[in-house]
Amino acid sequence: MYGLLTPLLGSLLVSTMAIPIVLIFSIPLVIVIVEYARGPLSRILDVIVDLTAGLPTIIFAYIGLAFLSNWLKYWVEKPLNRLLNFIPLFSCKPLTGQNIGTAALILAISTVPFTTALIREAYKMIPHSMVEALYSVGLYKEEVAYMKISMIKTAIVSAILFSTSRVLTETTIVSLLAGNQFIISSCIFTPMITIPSLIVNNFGYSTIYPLLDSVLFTSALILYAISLALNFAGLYLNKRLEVIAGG
Amino acid sequence: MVSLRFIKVLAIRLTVATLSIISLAVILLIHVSILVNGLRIALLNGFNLLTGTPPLPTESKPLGGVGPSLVGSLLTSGLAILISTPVSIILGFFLVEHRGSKFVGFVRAAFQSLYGLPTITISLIVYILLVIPMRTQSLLAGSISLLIVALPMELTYFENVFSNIPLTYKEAGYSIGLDRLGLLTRVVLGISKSGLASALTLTLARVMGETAPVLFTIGNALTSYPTSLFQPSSTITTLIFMLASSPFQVQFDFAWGAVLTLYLIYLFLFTASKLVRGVEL
Repeated sequence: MYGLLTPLLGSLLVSTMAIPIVLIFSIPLVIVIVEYARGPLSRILDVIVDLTAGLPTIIFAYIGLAFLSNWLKYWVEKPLNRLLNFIPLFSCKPLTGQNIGTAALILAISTVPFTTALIREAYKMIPHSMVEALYSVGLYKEEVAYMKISMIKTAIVSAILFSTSRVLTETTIVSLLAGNQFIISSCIFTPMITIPSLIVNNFGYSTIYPLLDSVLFTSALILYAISLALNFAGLYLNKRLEVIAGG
Repeated sequence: MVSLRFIKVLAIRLTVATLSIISLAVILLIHVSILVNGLRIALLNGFNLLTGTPPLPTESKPLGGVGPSLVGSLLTSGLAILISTPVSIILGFFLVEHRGSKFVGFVRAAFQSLYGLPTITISLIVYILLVIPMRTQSLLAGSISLLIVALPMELTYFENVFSNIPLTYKEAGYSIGLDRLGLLTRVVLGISKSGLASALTLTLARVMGETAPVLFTIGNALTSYPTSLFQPSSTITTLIFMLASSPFQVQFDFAWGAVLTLYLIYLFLFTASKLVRGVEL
């Protein structure tokens, strides 16, 4: 008997943690690139975001393993554990840098430029006449940015869908950083396993255990179904907006 | 008297500034750490980094090179792009020319569903369909996996490029008696040259950075140069994956060299695609 509950929960946990972080950091970045930065600075930031958005994820995974996971453990996870011990999410001590929380953070870091690029394209497509109308009633730049963000809500939802699909199917980062233990816990500092890392870590043994093959293929099917649904929903929303998603 | 509205604006300004500075700092940290650590290994090895084989666990210093994997990477991605480019050109042109018909909608949906295929699943599929019948993991299986990644991506880019061509040019082509094939080779390709080249380099850059699709299919032979398409080989990405999972500090450290190589290749392709875009109509 095999079950897929643990990796499914792991995948769910990783994406529910990573996506809010991605949004919190990418929307301000869009505003800075489009509203605050001028001329060459704006263009340079654009290129840096595009460049980082396409960077192979194995590079993020390796950097995470080499030093970022330890930094995060000392500067983010340990203080969180010390200060917010009473919340179940942070209740256990981070023993190593490799746990589901670190994996989610590194996934978030690797996804921020991608989401920023998606939202930026939609943000730039707002007609000038509308922006000028907003300024003409005497709004501050920040208020205009707020209005513009609320105008492109649909595009942001579709960017969330694409990013979720990317985070869910991302393989190398989770398989190197999530710790890969079959544990269900309410604490995010425990090592856990997700569907892609289940496949990567157990594929080599599938000749030894006769039933493992079918488990791995079932999990691949689930992953495919989720990713397909997210992608088509995103494309549908995009079509309504006529936004062309780059990448 | 400071109004509540101004305080709100100020709060938004501060939050946006702080959060964007943090995210930019992290992005820069990634690039700087690759360059600094990578150059440390690169300077230690010199030119040998591009031709040598990765270090064994017994060595005391991270001395070696990424030669076999570099060749494997270039061969697999090159082969995948070589197959996917003509297919995407013809299919993309077909999709744009017959826009609106049911069959085209079906073909597009089929390729979009391929786009949503998780990369690790591609590895499983190719393993079952190609590696098991061939009885060995091989360079060919690796490049077929990459082809499945490249095809929908390139097709989407190309379709975009083709649909941006003004209708008047196509009408002019038809009016002097060209058929579809003539129009494609004599008019459309000429106009969209730079767009296609840019899309092609971008696809190549993305394909070269893929790890999961080739993980089970290429065989991860790290130390020998590939001599035939039907032998196991490795790519730089799988090399980094293997070295990163290695328990030996020497091998783990050496992975910075491989990371730098991959980063520089990616940087080169990215810049090329941007530069080519610059000369577009």
